Amino acid sequence: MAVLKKPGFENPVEQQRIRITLTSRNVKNLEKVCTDLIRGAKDKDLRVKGPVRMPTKTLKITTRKSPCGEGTNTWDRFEMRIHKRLIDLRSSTDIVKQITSISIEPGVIVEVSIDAAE
Amino acid sequence: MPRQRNGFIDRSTAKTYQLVHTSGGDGGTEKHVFVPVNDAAAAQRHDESSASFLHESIHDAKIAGDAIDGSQWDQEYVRTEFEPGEYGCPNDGYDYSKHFKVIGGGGGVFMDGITGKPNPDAVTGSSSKRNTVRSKDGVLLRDDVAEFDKEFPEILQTTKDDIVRTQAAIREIKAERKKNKDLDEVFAALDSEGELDSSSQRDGDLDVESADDFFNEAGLSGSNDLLEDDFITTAQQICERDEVKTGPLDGIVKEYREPRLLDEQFEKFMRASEDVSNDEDGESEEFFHDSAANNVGDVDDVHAHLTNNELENLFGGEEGFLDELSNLQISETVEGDVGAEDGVEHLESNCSERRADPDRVAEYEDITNAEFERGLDGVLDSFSRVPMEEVLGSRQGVEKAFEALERNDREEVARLDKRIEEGLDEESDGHDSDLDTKFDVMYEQKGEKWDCETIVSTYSNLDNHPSVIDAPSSTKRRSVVKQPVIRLDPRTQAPEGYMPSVRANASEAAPVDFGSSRREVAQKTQARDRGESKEDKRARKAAAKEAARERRALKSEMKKAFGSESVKQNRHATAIGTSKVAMKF
Repeated sequence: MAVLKKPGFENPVEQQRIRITLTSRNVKNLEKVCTDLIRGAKDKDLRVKGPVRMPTKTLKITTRKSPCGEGTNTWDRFEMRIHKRLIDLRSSTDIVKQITSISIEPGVIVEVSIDAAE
Repeated sequence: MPRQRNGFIDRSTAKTYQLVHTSGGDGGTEKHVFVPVNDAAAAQRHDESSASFLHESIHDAKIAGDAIDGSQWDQEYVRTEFEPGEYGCPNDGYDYSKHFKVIGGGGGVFMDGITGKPNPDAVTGSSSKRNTVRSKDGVLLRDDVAEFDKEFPEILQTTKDDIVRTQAAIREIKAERKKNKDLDEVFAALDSEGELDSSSQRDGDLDVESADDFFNEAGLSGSNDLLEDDFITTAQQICERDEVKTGPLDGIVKEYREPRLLDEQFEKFMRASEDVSNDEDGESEEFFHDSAANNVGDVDDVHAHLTNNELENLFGGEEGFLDELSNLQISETVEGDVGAEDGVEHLESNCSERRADPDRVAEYEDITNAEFERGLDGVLDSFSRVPMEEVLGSRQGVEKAFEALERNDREEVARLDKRIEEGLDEESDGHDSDLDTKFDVMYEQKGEKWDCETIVSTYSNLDNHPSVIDAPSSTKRRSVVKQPVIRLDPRTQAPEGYMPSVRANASEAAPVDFGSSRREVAQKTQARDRGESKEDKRARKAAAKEAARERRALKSEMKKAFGSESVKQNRHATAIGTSKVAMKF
C-alpha cells in the first residue's frame, strides 16, 4: 500500500485506489453531485481524476400508440438516457466517508469501488 | 505494439459498495451507508430502519477508523431484539419481553380435536427448535432456544404438566362415554362447530334419521310412518309405558317458591272479582275500598236502592245539567287516576252498601247518571222524559224527595218509590214489566210532530206543483244593437238606398229609376219599321247605342254598390261578434 509522504504530515496514512461511479438519468443532478465530490476531494488535497464522462447509454422503446392496432400507424419513441461519471481518488476510507457524506441528489446512484491491492 | 496499461483498479479484487441514504428512523440522523454491491438490490428494497440498524451498527463499529471489511457485512438479516420502550411498553426497568410470545411457537398444548391426543409437534412448538444464525465465518450470532429456555424455564414445565393432566382427563371421558351411550350419540351428533348435526355418524351407532329417535325410544312399531299412525294412540302408548307421565304437562317440574305478598294480593283480587256478587260479609269492600279510594274518595254511603234513573230525576234532569255531568265525567276520567271508571263500575254493579262522602257523592252520582242516560238514549229514542214534578205531583214533592235523600230517610224514599210504581201500574200499556217499572213515567212516547217542510214533502208532484218563484236576475243582458232591416228591391234585388253614387247624388239629382230606364231602353230597341227612312234608321241605331251605354253604366254602379255593401256587412258582423260569416253577394 502506498504511503503518502507529505511535508508536515508525520503519520503515513494508508491510501487506496477508490473509484466513485456516479450513475443517473438526470444530467443536472449528476453533474451537481460530481462537482460536490470533486470539490470535497480537492479540499482534502487528494489526487482526483475526473469526472470522466462515459458514453451515455440510451434505451429506446418504440411502441404503437394505438392500444388496439386500429387506426393510423403512429408510433411512440420512448428513451431513457443513463449518464455515467467516474471519479478516481487515492485516499483512505475515512476520507472517502467524509467526502460522501454530502447531500446526494435523488436519482443519483453512487458506487464506490475500492481496490485494496496496494 | 502499444503498451498495455493496467486499469486504475482491478475489478477482480476490488470490492464495490453502493452508497445508500438512510432517513434515520426514530430520531436518528440521516446518513449514507455503504452497502455491498452483491446485495445491492436487496439493500434498495431493504427497510431503511433495518438497514440503519444493521449496516449502521456495523458501519460505526467496524468501519470507523479501520479498513472496510466487507466480510462482516455479508450476513443474513437478523431480527431485532426486544428493546425497552418498544411495542408500547414503558421503559421502567421491567423486562416485559417475558410476556411476549415468540412468533411461531413458544409452547402450549395442542390437542387433536377428534382423537384427543396431544400433538407432539405442537406441544414443543418452535421454542424447541433452535433458531441459530451464523455468519459466513462461522460466528454464532443467534441461538434463540438457549435464551428462551434460560429465561422462561417455568413455561416449558407448565406445558408438560398440562399435557399430563389433559391426557388423564381424556382417559376419564372415554371411560364415561363407554358407560353411557347417550353421550356417544351426543358427541357423534355434534359437528365440528359443537352444534347438533343430525347427519353426522360416528362409529355406526346412530341412525342418520334423527327424527326417528323418539319412536325408537318409545319402542313403537311402524313409527316411521306418521301418516298412518294415530297420534293419540301413540301418545297413549307412551303414557302407558311410562307410568310417571299421566298428563301432557306432567314431567314438567314446577319450581316451588315461597308465596310473596304480591301473590296474596293477586289471589285476593281474583277471588273478589269472581265472588263479589255473593259477597255478604263485605270482604270485597276492603279491596274495592282500597282500589277505588284514590279514584272516588271516601265512599261512605250511597243509596243503592235508588237506580241511576231515579238519581237523575232527583237532580231535575235538565239537559244543561246533564251536559255538565258529562263534562264532569270526562274531566274526572282524564284528570283522575287510572282506573277511576273501573272503580265506578265496580261500585255500581257490585257494592251493596257504601258510605257516601257528602262532598263527592254528587259528583259520583252525576257521573253514573250521565253514563246511564247516554246508554238509554239509544234504546229509548222514541220516548221523551216526563219531569219528576208530574210524577210526584209538584215541585214541592221533588224537593221533599231531595230532603229525604239527604237525610237518608229510607222510609220516605221507599214510599216515593212505591208511589212511582203505582203510577206506572196505572198507566202501563201491557209492555214488558222490566221496561215499565220506572221508565214509562219518566218517558212518554213522542207524539207525531209535523212541520211545514214535512207536510210539504209529503205531497207528490201530482197534487202539488211547486214552482220556482221567478225572481228578476241581477245580471244584465247584453244589449244587442238592432240593425236596420235591409230591404231589397224585388226587381233589382239590390238594397234600397244603399247605392253610394245614388246616395251621394241623392240630394243633387233625382233617384235613378231603374224601371224607367228599362222602359226607355225597351222603347228604343223596338223592332224597326219597314218603311223607315234612313234618318229613322239612324235615330234608331243611336237610341240603341244609348240604351246599351246606359245599361253598362247601371251595371257598373250596381257592382260597386254591392261590393261596398258586402264590406260594410262584414265589418258589422265582426263588430257584433256573430259567428256567421258575412253574406256574400
